[in-house]
Amino acid sequence: MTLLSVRNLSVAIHEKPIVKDISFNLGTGEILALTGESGSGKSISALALMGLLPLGSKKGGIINFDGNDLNKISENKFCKLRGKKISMVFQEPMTALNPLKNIGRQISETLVQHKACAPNELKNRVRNIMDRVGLSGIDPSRFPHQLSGGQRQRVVIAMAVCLEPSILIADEPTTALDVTTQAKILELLKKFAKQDGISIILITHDLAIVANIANYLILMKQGILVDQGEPKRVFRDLAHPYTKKLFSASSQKLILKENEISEGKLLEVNSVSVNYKSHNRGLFSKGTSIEAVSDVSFDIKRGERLGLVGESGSGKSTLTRTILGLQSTSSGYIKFEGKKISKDNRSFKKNIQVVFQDPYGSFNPRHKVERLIAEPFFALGKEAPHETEQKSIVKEMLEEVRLPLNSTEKYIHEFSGGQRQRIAIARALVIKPKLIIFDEAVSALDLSIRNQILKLISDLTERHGLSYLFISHDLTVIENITEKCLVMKNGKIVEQGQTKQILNDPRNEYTHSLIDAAPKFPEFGHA
Amino acid sequence: MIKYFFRRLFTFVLSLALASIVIFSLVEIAPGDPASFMLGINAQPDTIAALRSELGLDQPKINRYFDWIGGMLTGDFGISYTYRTNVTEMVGDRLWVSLPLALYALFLSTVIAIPTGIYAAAKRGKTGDFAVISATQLGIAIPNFWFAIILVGIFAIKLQWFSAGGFSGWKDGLFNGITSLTLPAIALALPQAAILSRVMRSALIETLGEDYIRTARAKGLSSAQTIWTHALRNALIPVLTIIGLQFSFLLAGAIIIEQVFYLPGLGRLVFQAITQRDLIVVESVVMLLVFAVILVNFIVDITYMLVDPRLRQDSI
Repeated sequence: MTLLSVRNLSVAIHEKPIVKDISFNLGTGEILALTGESGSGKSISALALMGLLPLGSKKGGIINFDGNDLNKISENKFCKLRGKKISMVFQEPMTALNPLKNIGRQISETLVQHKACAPNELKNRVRNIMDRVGLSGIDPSRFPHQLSGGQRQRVVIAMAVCLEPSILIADEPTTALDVTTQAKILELLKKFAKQDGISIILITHDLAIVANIANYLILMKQGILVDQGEPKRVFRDLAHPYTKKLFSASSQKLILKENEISEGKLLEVNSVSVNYKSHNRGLFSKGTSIEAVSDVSFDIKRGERLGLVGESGSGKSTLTRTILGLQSTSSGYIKFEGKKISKDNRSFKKNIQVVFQDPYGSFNPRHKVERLIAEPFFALGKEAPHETEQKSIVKEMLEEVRLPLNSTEKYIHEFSGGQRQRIAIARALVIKPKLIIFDEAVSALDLSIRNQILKLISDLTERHGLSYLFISHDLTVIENITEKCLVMKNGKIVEQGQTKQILNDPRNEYTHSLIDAAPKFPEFGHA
Repeated sequence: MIKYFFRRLFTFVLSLALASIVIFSLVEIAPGDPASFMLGINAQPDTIAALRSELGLDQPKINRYFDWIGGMLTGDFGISYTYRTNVTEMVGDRLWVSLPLALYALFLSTVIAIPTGIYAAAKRGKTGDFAVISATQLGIAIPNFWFAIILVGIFAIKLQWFSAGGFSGWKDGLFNGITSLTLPAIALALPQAAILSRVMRSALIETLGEDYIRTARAKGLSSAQTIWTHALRNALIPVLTIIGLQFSFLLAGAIIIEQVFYLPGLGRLVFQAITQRDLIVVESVVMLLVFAVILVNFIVDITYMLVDPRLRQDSI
């Protein structure tokens, strides 16, 4: 039975068309996946359904729901629908809740707003719905900052489903969460569709998630609906070239060429622990310390490509900072080419470079790209080559990362995310370091761009015999780009060895659960 | 929560101690010996020496500092060099003008600024917003003594609703006191209200762009409801900071307005004391003002804690 029917929906923001003429139907209890790369207009379509488009937008077409055209009804009437008949869960659980109100009050607000129950029942209803979304042990008087990301997302879901709406729109509800948490949240959404007959519009960029839980799939590209149908059929037929491109991107395997690996240790991490003093320090009490990294040992030989996997809070970032000499060890030592790394001795810095997750944040927006790429030369001091030589090296690097040579005169905001990451890689390469650390370097990128960057890294490795440490929470990335890997949990390394072996036959229970939780493509019957 | 409170309290006391040392040292460094100033250029050296010992100026600096602090703590601010009267009384009389004036002006500025700021934020980009922005632009650009002169011209001279200046004290009843402070308070409040209104507007607009506002709208709250129940409290934090700073300004910065309206306030007292090298008065009044400023900031800090649960947790 059709619950919602969208006909020729279009949205323009400040006269710029974002969503162009899309039509689809949603049936009761169905999970409809709205997918596409960033900028495809999927989130804006969802906000149009909620009537919550940003200021300055214009919409057209018909959204038929419950005998009303949602594009025409008054704001007053729409307020009565939101939260009661149509509700929404957002991407960023860290900021989706009001920091100044406790979660019980925020959940009960939906009930109060729609006068759904008597005041004396309110407490029970809140407790009830919290239990249903898996927050049984949690006190409703807690504040958002006292909860983890996954718990906050459960609170947002509780607010959205407490009145058993007909439609729940979930906009990338798991993108900001760890894989194991993601699996649980998706399970929860599925349960609401099945048991309560809530229809779900799931917005996601992850085709594996779509393949696993959606009944129907809509694929968007630059505001246009390019493909739709049952996921099984869509992924089997790959009728549209864009579908084919995305599909092959998400199932693409890179072939790493073998690197020559020398015997000597390039980087040696020997039983390193890092303690943080907690801020809970009084005037007279010392305060407790938290062990962020605990007794970690591994080494990287020249030419070796090592992966580091772990969920948020596992200590990956602290370990990176320690290797870069930005954080001192509490015990143990790190040696680079046989010399100890410490806060004071940073002569190794010309041999280690780093590429971060958010390239935009790591560039000075007021400098031109030429200067940005040449930045590591400043660290060399007197050893830096002459200016004209620097310029030619920068040009060379731009060619290496396949960016046009006239990029040198541009500023960083003129580039797309993928291009910025290429610039970051050029910057890392410019002083020919012996080791590069990639810290979640492709996590913020769309799938096809991500693959291009991974391909670039693998090509560069081949040409320059690079050694690197690749940090990621994403197992498929690690699988593609490294030959050895470490799995980290709560500051400890729980498993290490050959990447292939770990992924195919994990020894550790935690590694196992990580691999299980990662969404995988089912077989679709094509080669 | 208790830890946060005590940490703030500790900072409060520490700031006071540091401020007292700075004030005392500055007054010591300042040129001009009060005794020779009081006796004039023809005074004999031994007369000056006698006066110096009478005033306690021949004591070691450390002793004088602690005498001064000890006196202040017990409410004894010493004897004015020029007027030969008790400084506590002098300051007390003036404080009964300046403090109500500052509070009155702060009240007016808040009452004007918060609603207009909220209104402008709710109507952002529309005519109402534009009107508020233009008005605040004007309020910031025009100095308060000019407002004062205009107010006197209209309400005191033309309409004769208020007197043009002076302050008869609180003896004639609360109403009379308030009436004679009304024009100065408005003159003081208008520029402050203009600033505060802009802060309120921009803080609220920023808060309205937060994700949790969208969440609230998705629950079915109307846009007006989200402002009242979610945005306002979050937007108040920067507004509180500005209110705290404004109070300090209103208390100490009213010198010109006190001149225009001929009010016997603290600002005038300091001004006179400085020109007459009445160092004990200068020290005491400045210390008192510093105390008020630090106290207000302490209260603002504590209010943050009441507004924001994240600060109530001791681990932060």
